[in-house]
Amino acid sequence: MHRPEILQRLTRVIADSTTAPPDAAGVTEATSLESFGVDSLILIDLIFDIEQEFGVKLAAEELTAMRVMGELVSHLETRLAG
Amino acid sequence: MDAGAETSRSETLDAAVAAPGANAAPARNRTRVRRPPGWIKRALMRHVVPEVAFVVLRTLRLSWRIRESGRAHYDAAVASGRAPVIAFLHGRAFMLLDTIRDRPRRCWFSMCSPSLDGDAMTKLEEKLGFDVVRGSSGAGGLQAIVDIIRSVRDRPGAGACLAVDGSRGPRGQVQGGIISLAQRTGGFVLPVTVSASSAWIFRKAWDRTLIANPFARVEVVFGEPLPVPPKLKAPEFDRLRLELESRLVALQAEADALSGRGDTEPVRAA
Repeated sequence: MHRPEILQRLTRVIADSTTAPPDAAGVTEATSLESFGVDSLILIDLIFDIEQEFGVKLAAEELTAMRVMGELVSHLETRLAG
Repeated sequence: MDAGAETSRSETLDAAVAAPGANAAPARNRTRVRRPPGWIKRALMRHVVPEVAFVVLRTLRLSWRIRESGRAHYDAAVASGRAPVIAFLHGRAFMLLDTIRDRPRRCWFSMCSPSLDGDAMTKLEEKLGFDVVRGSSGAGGLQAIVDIIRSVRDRPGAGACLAVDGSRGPRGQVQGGIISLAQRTGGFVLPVTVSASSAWIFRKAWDRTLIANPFARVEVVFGEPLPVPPKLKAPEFDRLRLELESRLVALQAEADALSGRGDTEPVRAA
């Protein structure tokens, strides 16, 4: 799966979970995860939504360490390739 | 020099350095208290306390006259075929563990804090047959909730139970983890509490742990299940958390009224 596709699907997943749904067109790899209003409880939603969407199991620590969408995209790209 | 002489000299030194005019009380406060070395305390908490607590709990339970109210709520929830998620307050956890374990379920997951107190509680719960995941609202709690969700989903017939007012309080204030857990597993939270006609209350503990005296009448009260939809936005999530909190407070009042006693302090800390 290519990075733009991962980013697009990830944006959709985040829009479903967060209090501040992103404007899909404006989301880039530099967009901060914090800007979506992701708190610790939304993180749990995200972990399972990402698992459902991509089939990748993330640990809470991995996700909390990420600051921007690009890091999450890279992580998923690596896991999906492996 | 023997230990007694050493203690006596340190007390004298403490008194000697007290500020002029200070009364005797502050000097006494500075008297060295001999505490067990860390490794002894750790060994006691990890190996002795759980064994003793297990025997005490089992022995006390044999003498208690236990009555259950609202049991139909539990039975209906289990009959639904969905994984039950049970919520209770820390102060009543010790008495409820054995009651919950008695439910006809193959496997119960619970969460204990990664502290030394948590080590003792983990060992006790494992002896009672629980599968314990370590974590708390302060440390590793997020991952612990994720792990419990995955475990409950992977084990058909499993349920989860949590003391919901954090690992260190405030007493009676429900943390959000239980809602996330229910969202992703059975879709409901079943509140439960307990009270007793006569009991010891650990007044200095933040959670005011209550343990029924031998031969006490014990009232276990199950509340109505609180439905939790799989998808929630923040305001709805918080509304459900507060709703569960209110239900637990009301349930505690009901259990206390049934037992004719309970704790005189409010369930919810200010």
